[in-house]
Amino acid sequence: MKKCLSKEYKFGRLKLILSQIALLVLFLGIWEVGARIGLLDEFFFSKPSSIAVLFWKYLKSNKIFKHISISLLETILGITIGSVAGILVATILWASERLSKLLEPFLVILNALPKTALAPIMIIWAGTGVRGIVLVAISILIIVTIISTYNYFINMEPEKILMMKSFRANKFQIYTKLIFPSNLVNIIGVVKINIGLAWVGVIVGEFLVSRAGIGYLIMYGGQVFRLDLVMMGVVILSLLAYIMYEAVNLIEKILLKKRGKGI
Amino acid sequence: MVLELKDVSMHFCIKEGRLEVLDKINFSIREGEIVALVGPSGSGKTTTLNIIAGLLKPTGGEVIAKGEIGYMFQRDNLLEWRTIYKNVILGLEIQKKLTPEAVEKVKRMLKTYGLWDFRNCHPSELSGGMRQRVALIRTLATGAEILLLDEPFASLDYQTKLLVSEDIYKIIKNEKKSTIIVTHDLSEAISMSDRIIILSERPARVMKTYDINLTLDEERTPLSARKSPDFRIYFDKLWRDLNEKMPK
Repeated sequence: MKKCLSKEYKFGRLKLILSQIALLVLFLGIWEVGARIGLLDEFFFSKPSSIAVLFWKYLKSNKIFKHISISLLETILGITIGSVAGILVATILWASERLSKLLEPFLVILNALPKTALAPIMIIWAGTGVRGIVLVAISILIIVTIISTYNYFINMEPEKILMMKSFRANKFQIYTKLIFPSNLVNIIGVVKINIGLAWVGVIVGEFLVSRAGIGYLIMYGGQVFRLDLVMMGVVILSLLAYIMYEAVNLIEKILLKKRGKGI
Repeated sequence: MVLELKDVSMHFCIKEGRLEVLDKINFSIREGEIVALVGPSGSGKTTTLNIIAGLLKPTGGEVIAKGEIGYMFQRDNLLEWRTIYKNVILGLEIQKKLTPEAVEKVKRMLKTYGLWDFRNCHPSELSGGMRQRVALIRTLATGAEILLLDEPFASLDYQTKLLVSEDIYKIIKNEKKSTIIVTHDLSEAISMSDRIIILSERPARVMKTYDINLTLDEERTPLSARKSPDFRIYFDKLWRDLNEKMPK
């Protein structure tokens, strides 16, 4: 019975994936044919085959790896530093009710602010290199990280905290044995959202100042009206973001497996 | 006496001023005795338990406890990511009392109360009744001599409730623990306890106390207690006491 179900499930999944691939091929096909017969203006839309050819050229000359590695480095640094710092601040706010009440309006304002507006300031502060761009990425994701993590922390069931207190647990023990582990899945969720935000920061930063990186490629391509270059940048970007998302998924699976079946 | 409350009073400061919750509560618990605390809702039963457990400081009077106090709540509050064994030793871990003797005691209790085979399972794999037993053993593991149970069966369905109260009663009697159980279920109070204390409406005072003596042909357990002819009599008395105080 169980086997039969899983077979049916697998078959359904295969069909779904095949349909998704077919949809992608159809999209690319219409684009390619449309550009070739003149339905789409190649100057504005480029076409999949030119993008592929360009990608091959960049790949052969190894140029692409320089751009990918620099953007990847900036993004990973941004996510790691921003997430860790954000979770730390959330922890401090959780530990001190007075401090969190004091800072609440400021956090709300900072959260409402479109963070990309801060990018020029960050770059002036930290320089135009990798450091400045990483700081832009951090500035975009840290406030959301603080607010959402803090909200997860304070939304603990009161009875569970009372249970810990009835064993005379101190604040540190309540945090390490209850608050943090029970929010592990939520924190990984926050990190997943941070992937997208960090990329926004990195691309904006590279638009503004950089001499290398995927954002630089896109910006450069746009300035000289090389739509194939722009499109290539966008495709590489989405692939990188997807791979990072899946990497975090994998880390999540390993962590939860280590912990056992309890989520 | 293992536990004594002397003129315990409590008020909270709220927006509208002072909310008097407890007004000079006096009672005591003998060793190995199960006492039920009943009263209208909002009468401060949980507040009383929180004061005894030391989670709240009374604004007047004092609590004298001879022995460690263990608290069990309405829900089992098991931590889903820990195995049953890891859940049971949580309190020992917190109090840094994870000695070989303590571990032996935990193992003995897990074996005695039918949880040994589940020690490496996670809480989600256990039934509600088993989870409640795990919660009780977690409380007992730290060497608690006085148990406070705050509506421990309220989140269970009727059938499970009867079976679990039977389980919990046997464990408490077997381990010879002194217990206060808060409940709004009068039948549960009569079937579980040796004595019932009725609290009045807020601000709560001790209104009445009943010693529960049931004539029974068999060994007394919460289930068999319900068969005693005295059961109805106590029920009617309690019912009248609680409803007399209701506003007409």
